[in-house]
Amino acid sequence: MEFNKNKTLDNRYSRQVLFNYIGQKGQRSLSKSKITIIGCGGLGSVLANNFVRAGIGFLTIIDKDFLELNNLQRQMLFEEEDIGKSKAVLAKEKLIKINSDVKIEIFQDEINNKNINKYISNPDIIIDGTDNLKTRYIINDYSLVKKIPFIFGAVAASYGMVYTSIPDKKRPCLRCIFAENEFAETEALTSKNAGILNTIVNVVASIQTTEALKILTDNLIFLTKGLIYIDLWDLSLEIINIKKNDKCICSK
Amino acid sequence: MTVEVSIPFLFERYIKNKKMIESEAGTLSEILGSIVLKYPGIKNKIFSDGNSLKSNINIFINNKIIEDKSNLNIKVKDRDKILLLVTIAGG
Repeated sequence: MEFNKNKTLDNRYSRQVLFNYIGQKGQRSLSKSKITIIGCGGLGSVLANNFVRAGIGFLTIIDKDFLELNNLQRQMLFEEEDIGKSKAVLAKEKLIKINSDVKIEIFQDEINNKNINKYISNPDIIIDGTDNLKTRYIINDYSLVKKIPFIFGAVAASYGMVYTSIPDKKRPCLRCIFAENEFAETEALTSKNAGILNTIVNVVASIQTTEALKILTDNLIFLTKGLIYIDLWDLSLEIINIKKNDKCICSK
Repeated sequence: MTVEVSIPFLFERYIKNKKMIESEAGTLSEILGSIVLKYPGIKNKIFSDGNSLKSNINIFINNKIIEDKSNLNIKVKDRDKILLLVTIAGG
């Protein structure tokens, strides 16, 4: 059956609009929203898929990597024939096919302190799809300066973490949870040293997406206040209310 | 005079699947030392060879981070809560 965009637009988001906390107003807000996802691997590919299907207006994806065979187990946007190709380019090709109304911009690069300003053009939210602490600290610090919400997510084995950092005087930032030190990167749990279940990737990215939807549809009172810590194997979830560190850069 | 120590999820198997352990108040060093004595399996999960905290372990007292993990002589008061959080960084 031929897809007629004009006839089906109202129908496209009908089930999401029916959801009490989104409605027509929320959907209109989503259609104007700008999201930046940094990293398009496990978390990033699920995040991008979720946001595009939910009908955001503008999506920026930044990732420098090329698809490898071992990525297919958990990076839900990609297929066997994609191996060796740029994840950012692939993501754009696939996401446009899912929802051609969303404007998608990609950058094939790695974020650092010098280029972050160039790639991030005042989004409503920055979403974490990275796989290392160094980039997360750069994003965290940038989000504090520019006062852009940053939704941290991380996974390894069957474990996951999500934290929504809203730059203000009350809420802690990522540095209040993980203090920077020179060896933390090598000993932190990742899929390379602890393995990974594809299910925890989907769960964490979906929680990140839900937190973002709350911000974009003006449902801030429902934001999770603490660090969400999950073990999917045990089906355990804790919300840890970390306090702001008075000496942290976010307190200055 | 006790403090609560929690180590969510990752190391529960080394502390007999408990969510939380009680310990006598003292310095952080003394408290962690007493936990290692009681549950030896956890030692190399939280301490590196030189008996300093591993870099992927974040330590909090009453949910406030201890930035300088090289100094474990910080006094922990009665009824304080200690949290050990392992850094997860994969994506």
